[in-house]
Amino acid sequence: MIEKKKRNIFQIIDDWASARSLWLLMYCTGCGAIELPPTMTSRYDMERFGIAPAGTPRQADILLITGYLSIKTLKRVIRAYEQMQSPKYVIGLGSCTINGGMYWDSYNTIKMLDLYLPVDIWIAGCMPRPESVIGGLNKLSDIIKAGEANGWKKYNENLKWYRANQKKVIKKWDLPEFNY
Amino acid sequence: MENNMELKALKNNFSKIFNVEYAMFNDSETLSIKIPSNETLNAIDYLYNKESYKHLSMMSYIDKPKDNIIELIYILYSYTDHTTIILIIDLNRENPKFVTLKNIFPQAETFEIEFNEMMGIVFEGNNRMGEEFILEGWDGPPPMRKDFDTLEFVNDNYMFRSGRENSINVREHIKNITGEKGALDD
Ligand code: SF4
Repeated sequence: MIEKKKRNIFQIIDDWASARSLWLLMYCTGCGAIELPPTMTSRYDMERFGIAPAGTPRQADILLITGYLSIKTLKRVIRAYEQMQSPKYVIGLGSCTINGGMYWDSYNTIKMLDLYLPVDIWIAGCMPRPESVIGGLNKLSDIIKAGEANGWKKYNENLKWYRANQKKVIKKWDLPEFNY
Repeated sequence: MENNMELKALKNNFSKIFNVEYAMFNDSETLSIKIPSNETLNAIDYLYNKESYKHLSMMSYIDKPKDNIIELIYILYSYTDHTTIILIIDLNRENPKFVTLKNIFPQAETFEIEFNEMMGIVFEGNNRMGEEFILEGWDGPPPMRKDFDTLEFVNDNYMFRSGRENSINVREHIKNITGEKGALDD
């Protein structure tokens, strides 16, 4: 666990600024992806809250995992996550990321996302509606402002633990050990 | 509806030439035929060249552990007659083997790779056998086999989040800890 350190004035300004401009990378392999177009477009319009979709991992702040991850996609997600520049945040959307959801007994999907990536916010539901997605994003922006969204630091510090978990399910490991 | 005339004629001809186990209409435009596996290639050749079944719309399989067989299924379609033929072949479940059809239907190659991975069927002549298709680094038994115990595999390979230990009402609890109203509360 990371203790809450006292932030200096620059870090406070930094956190305040990044909480107000969040670029969202959506990893849309789960069914929750279908709720994102309405979240993004005029009906629910997440841009009101300063959140916009990003094109590539390197330009994104948030990695939004929209549901179940198979072993194959988990590999890609780890790759994408490690390419993102810190500070970076992970959102687990839907019950599949939390406890496996309705794929709890599938041979090919992971059951707990936080064993493999540091999750900052969970959005529960199967699938969560755009209101909940926006609720979760706002909550994330609050904890960033408070300096509490430290998942990426946790990941760097506990990389060994995360790697061990990742290698336990990804039998054919061909990712670089460090790619950030 | 009356069964398709061409299909009826085909059924009669087919029974004369090949050693048909059964042939029955699924509906007026669809005929299922079961034949021994050593006659299958000739049968497909006949359907392709003598008849007009030029399109392999689908391949499939059914695992039948009780009879110790895997049924391999070819679904062929004719664009001139607008009819479908379902060819069914029994394979031995211990050692399921068949020959590739990629020389007649190129798309069969991909199906065959998938069947090899998911069901363990070996298609001789397809040199991409054993290639990874959907699974990566899979070392268990073929996962679509009925005797593959998914739950056991999951318990051995994945960790689960432990459930709740109390029986408090979730909505009440959320309200108490956050003071927020849920979307379903009025
Ligand atoms: S939580 Fe539900 S909606 Fe989301 S990916 Fe899983 S099954 Fe699909």
